[in-house]
Amino acid sequence: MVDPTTTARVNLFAVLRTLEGLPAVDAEARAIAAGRRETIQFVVGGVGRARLAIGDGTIAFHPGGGPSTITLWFPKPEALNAMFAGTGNPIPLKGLTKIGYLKGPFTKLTDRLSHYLRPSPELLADEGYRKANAELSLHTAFYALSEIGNSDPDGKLNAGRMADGGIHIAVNGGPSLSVVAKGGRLETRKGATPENRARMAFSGVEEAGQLLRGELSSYLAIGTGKLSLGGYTPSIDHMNKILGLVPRYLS
Amino acid sequence: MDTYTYPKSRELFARAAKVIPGGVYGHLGPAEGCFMPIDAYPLFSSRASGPYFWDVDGNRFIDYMCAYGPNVLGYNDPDVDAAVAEQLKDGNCVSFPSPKLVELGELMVDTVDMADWAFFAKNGGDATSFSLMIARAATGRKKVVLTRGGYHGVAPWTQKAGHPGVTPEDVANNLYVEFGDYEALERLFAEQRGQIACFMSTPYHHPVFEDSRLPPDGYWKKVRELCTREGVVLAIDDVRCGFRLDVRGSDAHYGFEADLECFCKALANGWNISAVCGKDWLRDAAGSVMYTGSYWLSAAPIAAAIACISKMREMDVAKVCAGKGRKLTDGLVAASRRHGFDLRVTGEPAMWFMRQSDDPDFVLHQAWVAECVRRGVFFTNHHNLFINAALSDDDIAFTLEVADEAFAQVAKADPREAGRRG
Ligand SMILES: Cc1ncc(COP(=O)(O)O)c(C=O)c1O
Repeated sequence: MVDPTTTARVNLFAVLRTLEGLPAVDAEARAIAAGRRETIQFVVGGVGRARLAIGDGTIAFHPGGGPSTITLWFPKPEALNAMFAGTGNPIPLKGLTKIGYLKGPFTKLTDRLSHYLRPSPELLADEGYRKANAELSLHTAFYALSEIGNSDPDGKLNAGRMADGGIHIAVNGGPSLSVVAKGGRLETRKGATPENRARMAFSGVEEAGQLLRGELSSYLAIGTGKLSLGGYTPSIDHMNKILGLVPRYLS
Repeated sequence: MDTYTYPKSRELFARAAKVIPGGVYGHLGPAEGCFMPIDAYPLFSSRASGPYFWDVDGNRFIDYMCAYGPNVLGYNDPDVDAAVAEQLKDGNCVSFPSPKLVELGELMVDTVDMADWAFFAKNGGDATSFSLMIARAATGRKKVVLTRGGYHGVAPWTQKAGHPGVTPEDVANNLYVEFGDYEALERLFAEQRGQIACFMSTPYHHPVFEDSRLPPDGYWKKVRELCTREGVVLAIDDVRCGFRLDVRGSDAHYGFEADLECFCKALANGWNISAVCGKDWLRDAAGSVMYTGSYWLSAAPIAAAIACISKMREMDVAKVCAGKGRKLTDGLVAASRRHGFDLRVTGEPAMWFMRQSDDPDFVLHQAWVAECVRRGVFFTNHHNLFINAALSDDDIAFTLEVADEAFAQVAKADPREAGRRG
């Protein structure tokens, strides 16, 4: 069971956010980020707002509303999900003259992200692609995890069982994130945080990618040391149940 | 002291990974077993004897998990295994049960204080699910009250909503209370009057990750009276504690009488059999429930159970295990203090739980347990441990030596400091 509000939250707060990491791995995204600055605001009924600032060499994601040059309105979660599925278009509220930017550079960016998040055996033959896929998937999956934990019915049950404190998700030679629980609500953050009480460490970017692509089960990863766990383990157990729901929302 | 390595275990695990989900699944596997860090642990055993097992790399371990309970007399106990060998000459899984079935029924009724009858199955989970069905059949009610953090097996009704493969309907009839909170139980019974078929609980609380909790004074007596008053079947899940605390049943150990009592682990020293014992008033209900399995009346495990129960009674195994457990845990606590740590021991001595004080995230405990395992003492991090009757004073002395050295090792660089730095 995939619920549309959770899907929209995942799309808005996890997938869109992953555009932040795109310039680091993709030349076309770098070129767009180097261009003129635009701030696109997404307003999604029943979900919330977020802004994407593109330009001056970076892409930055800001949860919540604020100043923008383009504002897109989605009356309900399903409308945002349709845009992500390529079956619907947003309604511009502001920046009507900038439709060209949306159809051009912005669409290019989302296409490039899809390219990295939807691997094929041919693409995975390339080492650089594998690494980019792993890093961007890690980012998407663990931001999605918090949205699912806060919104999906099964996710909420499992998030509610997590004790206050964080879990550090670290990749040897790669990025790190923290999932912090407080009062049964989850928040994903970049890097380590002082709240962390447990750790989930991948032996490398390649192993993280294998697990996230479903090529390696978490049980096998643990048994072979490709994924090592430590610290306050009950929270990891509960979080892993939510991690198990992520593919439903990202496939 | 040399520390162990496990190249053959790793090789086998790689093979297992290709053909078995998870490589080694369940509580014997590295994930559920909380083998942290994984490189400290073996993954396969090659043989076992008395209190020991040897892994596939030839390393010997004193085994304080006892196969998670079944090993109560010592692995390969000669008397139990001889009874099995003898029975196998005559047959095992046949179209009719052997007379041994009756013999075991009589022995259970004679041994377990509360038992008017006994029913046999294979796993602990068979016994707990059957008990719930008996209670429902007898009362015509649906709901079951369980204690939070209690474990009764893996049938869907025992699992948690939101876990893989579990539907909300699977657990819709479950109600939960804290173990030992009599007032909460009384309130719940009043709120749900006429709905509750069964209160199922372990005799004392032995969850994972947390300290064990013994029943508060007078708790079971009051619960017994409440269940009788409210027409609720009191089912004691003695799968883990049964015989280790008292051959008469753990309800007898704590001075009360259950309506149904589930046994498994220590029943046959590792041979596969479980049992439900019950009171007379539930006999017809038990007979009315359709419940059976391909191997449930196989004769060899029944022969094992007869030999095991007889030997446990003869040697007063519960007293033996409690004595050894006290000696061991006193020594472990003393070892921790010598190095400036404070090992905290809870639960019954024959199946104690331990963790370190001032270690809320378990990093110190996980590091210490890993150092013990590397030196041939098999503990797990977050589950209760078990004593078996074959454990000798020399084994205890060796364990304490290892524990001491392991504490010295972790004291060199307190892992809690590294944890705090992130
Ligand atoms: C208290 C308790 N109940 C039930 C079970 C389930 O027994 P089994 O795993 O044999 O089905 C266990 C197993 O650990 C247990 O400890």
